[in-house]
Amino acid sequence: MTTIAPPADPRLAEGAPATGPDGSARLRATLWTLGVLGAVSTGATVWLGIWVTPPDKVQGNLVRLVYLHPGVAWVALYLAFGLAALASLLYLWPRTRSLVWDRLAAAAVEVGVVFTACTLISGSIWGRPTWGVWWAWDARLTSTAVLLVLFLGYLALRRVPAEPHVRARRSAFAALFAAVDVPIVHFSVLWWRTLHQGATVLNPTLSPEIHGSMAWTLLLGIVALTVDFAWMLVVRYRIGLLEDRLGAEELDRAIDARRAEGGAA
Amino acid sequence: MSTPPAGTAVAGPAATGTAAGAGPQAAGTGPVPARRFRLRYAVVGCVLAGALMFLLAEGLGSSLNYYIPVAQAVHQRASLGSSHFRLEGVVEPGSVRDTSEGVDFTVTGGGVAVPVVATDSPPQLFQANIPVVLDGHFAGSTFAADQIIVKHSSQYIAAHPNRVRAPNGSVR
Amino acid sequence: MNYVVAGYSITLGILFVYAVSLGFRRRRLARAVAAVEAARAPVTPPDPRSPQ
Repeated sequence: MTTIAPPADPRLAEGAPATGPDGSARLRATLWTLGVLGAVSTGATVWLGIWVTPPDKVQGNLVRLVYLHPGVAWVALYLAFGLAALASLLYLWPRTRSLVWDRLAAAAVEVGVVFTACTLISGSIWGRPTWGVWWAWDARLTSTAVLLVLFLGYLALRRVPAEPHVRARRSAFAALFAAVDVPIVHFSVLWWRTLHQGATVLNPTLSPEIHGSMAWTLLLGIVALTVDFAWMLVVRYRIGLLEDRLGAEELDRAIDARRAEGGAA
Repeated sequence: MSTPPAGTAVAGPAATGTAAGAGPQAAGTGPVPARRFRLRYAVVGCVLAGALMFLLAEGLGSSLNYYIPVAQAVHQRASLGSSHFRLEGVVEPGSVRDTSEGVDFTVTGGGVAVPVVATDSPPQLFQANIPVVLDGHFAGSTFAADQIIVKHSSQYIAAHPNRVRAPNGSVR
Repeated sequence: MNYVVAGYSITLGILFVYAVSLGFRRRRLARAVAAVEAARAPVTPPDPRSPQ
């Protein structure tokens, strides 16, 4: 008993809850908790980052942008695209094949694309006063821009109409292909000479080059953006689920209508 | 509904041998061969991904470097000639002199110093002992730079370690 | 400091607008699904769930 024939309508059978369209009470409670936690921790990061922490010895107040940018990049690169790659692998692996993973990958990529755009924008706003330029074609910045384009391509591919499992398979391969760029972005500052500085915390020796309240604020920023990401991911996953449910309902209606026509003729 | 295990032996070898390019259509022949195709796709995908990584790292490796450090640039001065490239070095303290066109200073690195004539107003963080990336070319023994970019390090150090509370956000 | 304020407001602004848009998308879809399912409810047999 290793293989199971696909159910009549995979979109309804896989991951579709028996609850109403608003989700279970537990889901709503989770979302509420995540939302409050995310808002409070993000607010605390802004407060600590702008008003409490000291200015930097070299860059003065510009260091305050550093409490935001790494957290956004962390979510985009490692959480969102890492999760998308993992979910795509789990979909392609026959034993764990389920549209749940496809939907999760789609949700993670969409949120990840927004975070990647924010990474580029916040980095650019820091780069203009610090480096003196808005943009530099160094390996880190270029590979990040490539990452954004690759995952935008993934989202475009998902809009091509196809059977759910055909689309899922195709998207999973696309996600894995695009995710090859994630380690390139991460190691670009070690592999090549870049204008972008090396990692402050996740450096090869894992010895953070930031201390005191600055370090704690950076850490809080990363946690806050992670919670924000979790909220967005759950809501985006629900959207995918509802879209599939609506699509399946409309398909059923069309079939019913066809059947009724056939019966009348 | 499930497929009896016997189906593996029957459908397996024949299908894998003939329909390599059939792709999704092959899924109609039964779940077991289809699974093999997917495994094959996964292997091909991994090989392609690995090849891409290798190409990016090896083939484009050196051209992806954003700048050339001072010591290396001086070593290659003959081959660099008057070609355009980016030079990286640390601004030597006491060498900075404002000129009518921009700023003159010396960059050091790896025990080598190169005098710079820059025709660009330096960025706000430009100062002694800061690493800079200069866009320009060698002109004789000096480096003629038309753009100065400050290269910030990955270190963040509090300016006033004994004063935890910074001035209000509105200040400066 | 202007760059700092701009950086925070633009970055967090984009994330906030995206989060709000997600909320609206979810609500609109939930309403559509509720309407469609309510319309079908009297005639549809229970979902054929596979023993997965």
